[in-house]
Amino acid sequence: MAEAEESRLRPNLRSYWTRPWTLGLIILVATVAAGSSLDLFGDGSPEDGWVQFRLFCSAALSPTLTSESPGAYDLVPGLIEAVFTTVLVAFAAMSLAISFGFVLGCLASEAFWMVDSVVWENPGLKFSRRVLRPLLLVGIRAFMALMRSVHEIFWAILGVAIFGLSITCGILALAIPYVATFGRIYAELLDETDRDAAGALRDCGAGNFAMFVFGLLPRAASSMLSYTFYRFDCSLRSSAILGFIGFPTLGLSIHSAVRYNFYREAWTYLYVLFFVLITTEMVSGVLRRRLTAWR
Amino acid sequence: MAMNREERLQAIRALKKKSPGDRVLLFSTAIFASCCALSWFALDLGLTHPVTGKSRFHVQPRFVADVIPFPLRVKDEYGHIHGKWDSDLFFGWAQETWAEIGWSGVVETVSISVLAIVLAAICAAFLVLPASRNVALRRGFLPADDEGSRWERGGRYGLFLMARSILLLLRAIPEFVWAFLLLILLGPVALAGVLALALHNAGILAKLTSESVEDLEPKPLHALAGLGAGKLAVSMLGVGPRAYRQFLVYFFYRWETCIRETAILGILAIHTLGLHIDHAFAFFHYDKAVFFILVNSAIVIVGDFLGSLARRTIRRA
Repeated sequence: MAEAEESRLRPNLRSYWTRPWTLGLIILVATVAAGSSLDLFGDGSPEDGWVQFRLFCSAALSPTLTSESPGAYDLVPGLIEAVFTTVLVAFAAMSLAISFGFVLGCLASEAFWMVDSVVWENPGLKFSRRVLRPLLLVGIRAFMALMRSVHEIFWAILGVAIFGLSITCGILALAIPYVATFGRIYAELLDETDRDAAGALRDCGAGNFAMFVFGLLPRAASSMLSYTFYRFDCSLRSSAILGFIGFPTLGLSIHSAVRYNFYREAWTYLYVLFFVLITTEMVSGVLRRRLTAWR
Repeated sequence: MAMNREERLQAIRALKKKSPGDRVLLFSTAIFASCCALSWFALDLGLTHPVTGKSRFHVQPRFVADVIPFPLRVKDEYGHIHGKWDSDLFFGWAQETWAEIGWSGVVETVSISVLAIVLAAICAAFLVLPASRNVALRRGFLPADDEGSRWERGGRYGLFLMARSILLLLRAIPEFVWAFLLLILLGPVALAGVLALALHNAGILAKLTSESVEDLEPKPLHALAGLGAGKLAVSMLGVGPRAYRQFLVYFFYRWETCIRETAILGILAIHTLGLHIDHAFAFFHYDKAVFFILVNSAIVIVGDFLGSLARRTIRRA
């Protein structure tokens, strides 16, 4: 009570940071500083930029299924293979990311280590609860932050440097940051879940582990599943981009077609890529809406 | 309360029937899981050599030698390269390598992300209202408002669908592909990176914000409209201030991702830290490459921290 009274009397300094004008000013200053420190137009502009761009845009209306190279071969088999590789790499990476991310997510949630103190304060085991467990938690979270802070493309390049070029490197490269992202988000979702069921189980005499597994996990399941579906879109995009550094996904086809100025061919690949990405996005959107309704 | 066993079972069954445990969801989750499992068999993992059948997946000896910072490398009598720790040599090397990027390299990477997210926010601000159902599909904000003729309603729905599909297209295409396409026109300049990040993130920002606009409590809007405020006034005074905070939360969330994505634009020769990383790999300077990657991940971690700090402050205020 006294605390509430105090905070009502004392002007809340923190809230000044979120006033529209303060934040607008900060963002404006940051923008001006960024703009002035950056040479936006550089000297790298190609001389025939407009010509090539017009060619590229006009090719949008006439995508082709036979190659523009002198061989004039059929594009369809290669296209199908590229699409399959893109999707399969995304799925394989997701299977790793979900399973390891789930374990890491549980381990990185406060609920796992301190369920009972979250449900109600338990005076016992002070040292473990005050010092050891928070330290462990910080350690796990720092480890995940390090995994996540390196982009999947750089993991992929690093993987190729270490193990040589194979699809497995691409899958692992996608999986590493995704494991960490899943871990972080799953942990957040678990910590945001209502403790009512866990508390009820506690009253029935359940231990910490049972409280976590039967009281919290099922309660958080729908939002975790929803995030998983959303993340699949991202992994599909990343898997396509892996092509730009040489993995046989759709990005590779786009990259080589544009590099050879085969713009009509490039548009075929681009249309297929858009189709795949937009369809997945729409399907996962429908599923996620259903999940929200279920929750 | 007094129920016998049969009655209780029946009650449970009735509850189960009522619960919207969704067949479609169950089915698609099962398909998703089986696709995950099947992908491992359908892919050629490339673990063994196609002709000799020997394992190809092992650590390349060259990498082990080259990842040691080069002043620390020592050759033994068999010609193998080992690392020998010497702090002076190491820090000298670290200083020299840092001088290659310097603060200007860091500032460049961060600047691109800041410009991109601000541009994205400006574009998104214009796209949010046409893409949110409760604003775009209604003529006024009062529940009793006349919705106009069939053509009017159709026109509004058409505009709404157009805004939605623009957003879908913007966000479905990865920023890297946007940048690659812009490269044809602009070449590898910072502007291409800024525009690419801005396009993708404008789509995401506008979509997320329009979702929270749709979730707004309608009564204050009704009150404003009932006092005679027009549609523009209600949007500016009723929707804006309440959607603004959520918009900021998404703004900082996307900024964190922007910093992370800016680096990879270096692979397209846009001048960010990623360019240094890419060059180091191209010259097999793995020691430098790992150093630059670590610098980059430090930037990302600091950005993550600042972003989540800002988000927490906004949520609490």
